[in-house]
Amino acid sequence: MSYLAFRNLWQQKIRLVLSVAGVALALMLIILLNGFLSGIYAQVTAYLDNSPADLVIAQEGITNLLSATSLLPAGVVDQARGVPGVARVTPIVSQFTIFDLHEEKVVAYMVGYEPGQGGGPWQMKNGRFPTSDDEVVLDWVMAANHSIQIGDMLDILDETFTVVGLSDDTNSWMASFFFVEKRAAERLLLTPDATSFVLLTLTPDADINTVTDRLNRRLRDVEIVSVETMRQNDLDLLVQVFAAPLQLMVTIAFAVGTAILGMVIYTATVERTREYGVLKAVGAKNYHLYWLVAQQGLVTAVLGALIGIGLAWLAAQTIMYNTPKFLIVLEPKRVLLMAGSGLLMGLLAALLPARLVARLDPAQVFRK
Amino acid sequence: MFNLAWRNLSQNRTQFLLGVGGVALALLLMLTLDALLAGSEEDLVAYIEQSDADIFVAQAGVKNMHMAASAITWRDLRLAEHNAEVISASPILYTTSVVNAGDSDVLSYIIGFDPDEPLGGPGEVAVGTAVLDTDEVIIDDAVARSQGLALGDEVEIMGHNFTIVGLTHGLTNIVNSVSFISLRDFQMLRPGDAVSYALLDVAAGADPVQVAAAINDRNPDVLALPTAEFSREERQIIRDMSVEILNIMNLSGLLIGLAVTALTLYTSTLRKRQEYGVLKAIGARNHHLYSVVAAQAALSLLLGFVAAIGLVWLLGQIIPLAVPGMGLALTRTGITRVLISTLIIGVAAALAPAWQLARLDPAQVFRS
Repeated sequence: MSYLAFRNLWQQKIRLVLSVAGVALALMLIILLNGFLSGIYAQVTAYLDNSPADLVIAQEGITNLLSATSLLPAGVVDQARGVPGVARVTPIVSQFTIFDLHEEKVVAYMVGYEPGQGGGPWQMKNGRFPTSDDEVVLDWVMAANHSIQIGDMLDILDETFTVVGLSDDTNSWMASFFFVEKRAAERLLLTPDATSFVLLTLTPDADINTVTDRLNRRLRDVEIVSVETMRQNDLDLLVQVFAAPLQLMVTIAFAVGTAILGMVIYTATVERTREYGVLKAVGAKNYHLYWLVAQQGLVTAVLGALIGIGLAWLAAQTIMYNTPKFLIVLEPKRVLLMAGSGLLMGLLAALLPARLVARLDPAQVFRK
Repeated sequence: MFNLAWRNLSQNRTQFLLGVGGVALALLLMLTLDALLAGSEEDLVAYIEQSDADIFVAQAGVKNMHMAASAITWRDLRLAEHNAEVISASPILYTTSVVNAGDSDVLSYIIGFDPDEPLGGPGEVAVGTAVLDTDEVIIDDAVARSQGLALGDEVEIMGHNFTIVGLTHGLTNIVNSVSFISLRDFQMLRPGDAVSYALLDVAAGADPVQVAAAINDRNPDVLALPTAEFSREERQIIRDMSVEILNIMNLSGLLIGLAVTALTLYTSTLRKRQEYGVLKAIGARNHHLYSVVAAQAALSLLLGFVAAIGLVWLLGQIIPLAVPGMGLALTRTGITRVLISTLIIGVAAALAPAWQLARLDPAQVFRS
């Protein structure tokens, strides 16, 4: 039966190539879309992932870093310093900002930090950290995209800053990070002595829950959140935003792949009606013929899946090379799962021709 | 020729549906992302465009609300108001925060406005009142629906409880919603001397462009933009953030559409090989047969295109019901882009069958 299935497919090579290509492209799209999303998730949590902090103090009601604006009551930084178990207190001022560069809107996330207290860039590609309140460190990908170099001037909220450094691993498709001194950020946002978040690094022997309780007793009108929780909250909100559009696009791509496979298998079955009739007449059961049809769908789907994985990897490398702001993460488990959906396509595509074969009357076939 | 082409295509209904369906789905891939982004654009600017303001005054260098922060002083507001053609200048405070309703967090712009001022609040309240008292909030009906909230229920914003007294419509987008509290409540939650934006109403017959220019000339600390321009700047964020992804999706859709159409044409040409052989034998030239193939391509693509438009429209009706804030809007640009892609697909997809027909030997057809 397998040999027969293969011969049915192989007899029309161009048709086989076109159908495998269609399935491969559909699966490539599904894998790429999921890879985009995984990349976004990895990029947007980069600040917290690279922070040595264990806890974050935010304004009451705020448990996200990126999604919401936080403004802490005065005195929180000093109060947090005095809590046993807290080794380091890092205040930051942060806010989304939009640059207008070469008539393009570029979204970026400003982090104002105090030099020497942490909270700034964790990896530099070039240059140095800011040492005055009119200097800025930009993400190198964002800088490269807009031909900005060290020493260039950049307008941030109508004030001019000098680019003194280029950071690495601070880029994302949605918004890159950029860093200024905390007092510069306060001035730009017209919020003197303000603090958005306080990052707390605990002593090695401190228990996080105990320190959290102490902080809750001492501080009022704040949220004290573990870095892990805050990171997850940021991810959850992103999932909320992107999940529905992603599912819609993936569903359409899956439907396209199934339609292509369905057309090929159905056509191949219709062309072989007499031969299927003969098989039935000589005693082949319906399930033999179903399996024959299904194999054709599965073989095409498997070929399409293998090529689709290759195309997805190639497309991902090409996209990331040409547009470094994108990070496409192809996790092997997820890729295999997506490719597995190709098998589902094959099985679904075989349903219509299976019905055709089931209803086939050998006598009618010979009468024609 | 078209009659023959139609008969070739439609002879087998299942194959016809699968072929046209595959083309429609491939074109749908291209249309859907564009429609999603256009829908997001509309939702993003809803507050701005429903505000009835003629001019938005922001901090110098700020041309947006989404992912931006602005701070202007009360003096800046009074300076803007002291223009002969300005009837009123209404302040708003604005931040991005989270509306907590029970177990769920909904990302929301929080706008603090003065109910005694003519501008700044929701353009229209669908249910309830726009007149806010202390500890009262107006949220969007999409959020109310998704979180099971009604008038009189409580939500938490920045650690403070508010009672829902009004519901707006159309102010929820895929990323966030818009919620309104009183200016006084906002100042209590986030103390400060500044306001975020001033919304200006100009006298009938006055030109907002000229009035905005005059404000900018008088005060370099602010940027006044006519509402139409402010809205345009806001829309540009979505466009600039998504242009590369859109290109990738369009290319994928184009290639998949090409594969499906080529497959459909190739299959139907193959099926009619004998008939084409007869036509050739009785004197039909190759270009006569090419024209039949071209007509088939045009028909299947036209039907696929119309079906794709219809599917986008249908999705546009269904999806907002299932996913509040996720809207689809067909645009002229999107439709034009897909039309051009369809033409490219049609020309390229007809090549394989044209090559088939050119090689067709009538004598061989009769012999086989």
